Amino acid sequence: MLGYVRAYKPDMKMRDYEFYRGIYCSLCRALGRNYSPLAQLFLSYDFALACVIRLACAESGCSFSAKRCPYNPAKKCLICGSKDIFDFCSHAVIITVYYKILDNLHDKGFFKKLGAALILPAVALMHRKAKRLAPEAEKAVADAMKLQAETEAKPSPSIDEAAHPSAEALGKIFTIGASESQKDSLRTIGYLTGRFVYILDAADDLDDDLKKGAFNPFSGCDISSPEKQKEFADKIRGMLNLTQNGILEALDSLEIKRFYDISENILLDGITACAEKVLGKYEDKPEKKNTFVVE
Amino acid sequence: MRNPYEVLGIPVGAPLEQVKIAYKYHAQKYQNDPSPEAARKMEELNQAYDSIIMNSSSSNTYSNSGYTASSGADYSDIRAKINKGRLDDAQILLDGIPESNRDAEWYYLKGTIMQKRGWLEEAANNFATANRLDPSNNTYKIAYNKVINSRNGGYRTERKQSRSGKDDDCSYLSCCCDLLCADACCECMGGDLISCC
Repeated sequence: MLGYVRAYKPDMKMRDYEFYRGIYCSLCRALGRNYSPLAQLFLSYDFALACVIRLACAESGCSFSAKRCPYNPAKKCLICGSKDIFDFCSHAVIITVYYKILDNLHDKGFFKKLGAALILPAVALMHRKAKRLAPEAEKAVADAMKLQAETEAKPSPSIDEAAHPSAEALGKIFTIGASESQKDSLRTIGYLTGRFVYILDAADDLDDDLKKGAFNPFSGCDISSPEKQKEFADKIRGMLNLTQNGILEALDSLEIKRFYDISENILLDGITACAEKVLGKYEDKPEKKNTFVVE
Repeated sequence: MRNPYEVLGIPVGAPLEQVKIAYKYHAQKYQNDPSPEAARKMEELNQAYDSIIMNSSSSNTYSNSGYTASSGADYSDIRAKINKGRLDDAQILLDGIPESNRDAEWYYLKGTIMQKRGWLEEAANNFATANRLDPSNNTYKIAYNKVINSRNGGYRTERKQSRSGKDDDCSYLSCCCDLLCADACCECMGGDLISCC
């Protein structure tokens, strides 16, 4: 996952934001504890969602205690006590990062390739441990990579087909260890979130991929003129909205014990804000930095 | 399988009452006959009856043109499989129906399977086809309109509204309540806020 799934701060309650930060910090700690400070570099808000949903469905509640962060000692952060959940998510982070790096190794860009080659030995070592501790997650991601390669080799796969492998992997990761009654909803949330990210990422990379001649499920779309670009952005927005509605319906069917507001914030406002940022690129809406408009 | 209406010996699209009467009439005839031929006919009659009942429960308009010889009985089985979550089995059965026999119901069921799988674009296309083939059917129309509404982000405004509705304590009604309370308090202390009550 690539940094698209994060909370939308302006619409969050302060308390929720503190907890969300705390969950993020706890995941960072788990990565440091289970792997190494290098692993903490791979931390992203994306996996905080997996932690939030797991905590939200957990049978027992969780406690947060304020601790100092070694990277920012002046600030105390809330560290969550539910160790199992964060350990599992840290393994999942390492597994996905490992396959992402392997994928980059086949990339056409020279620097990307070099970076991947340099970091691979260290990550491979961490991956060995993650594989042992979370075999189900490993299998889900490994299967997805294989299927993705097969799909990309097809002449012109539909967007449903192209998004399926990564979506399926996330769906499986979300259901691991869940109770039977919750599995369907969790799978749908994971599947559709993976699909949302895949579509958004593909749309984001389209101009680059067209230049490089790399695979992109939207490579058949015409973005040569501003009108066509606007049309493309509207089409993608429609697809994303359809996916997001599915996610929210699944979220409503889930038996959530806590952190509903945080989950809804991420899945409703958070990913929408990210999508608009990406689509703005095609709609000729120059993003003004450090400017906030109140209507 | 023959057209179920033909098996029952009634005109296609006959009302359910007539179907039931015809079924009873034929069933009594075959039940009293011990020959194996009658047993086979009884089975055919049961299938025909089931397929008409199943179809009428999903769509009230049962047109002759939309009817295909093999589809009626199979759909009930497919629908049951979808409800049980056996999507792979349902899809195999559905895909087994030749393209020339596919009607609106077929596309609707295919859309439902695809939606459950998360292949939303394909689901949307199938719902659109179902709605186009049979615009009078409400089920297809609802499914299709839901897709259109989601695409336009309609769910977002709905959610935002319900959320702000929850936080909104300062409605007209509660304003009146507050005033009345204040009035009551004032009266306790000997004063009066609203002179008429």
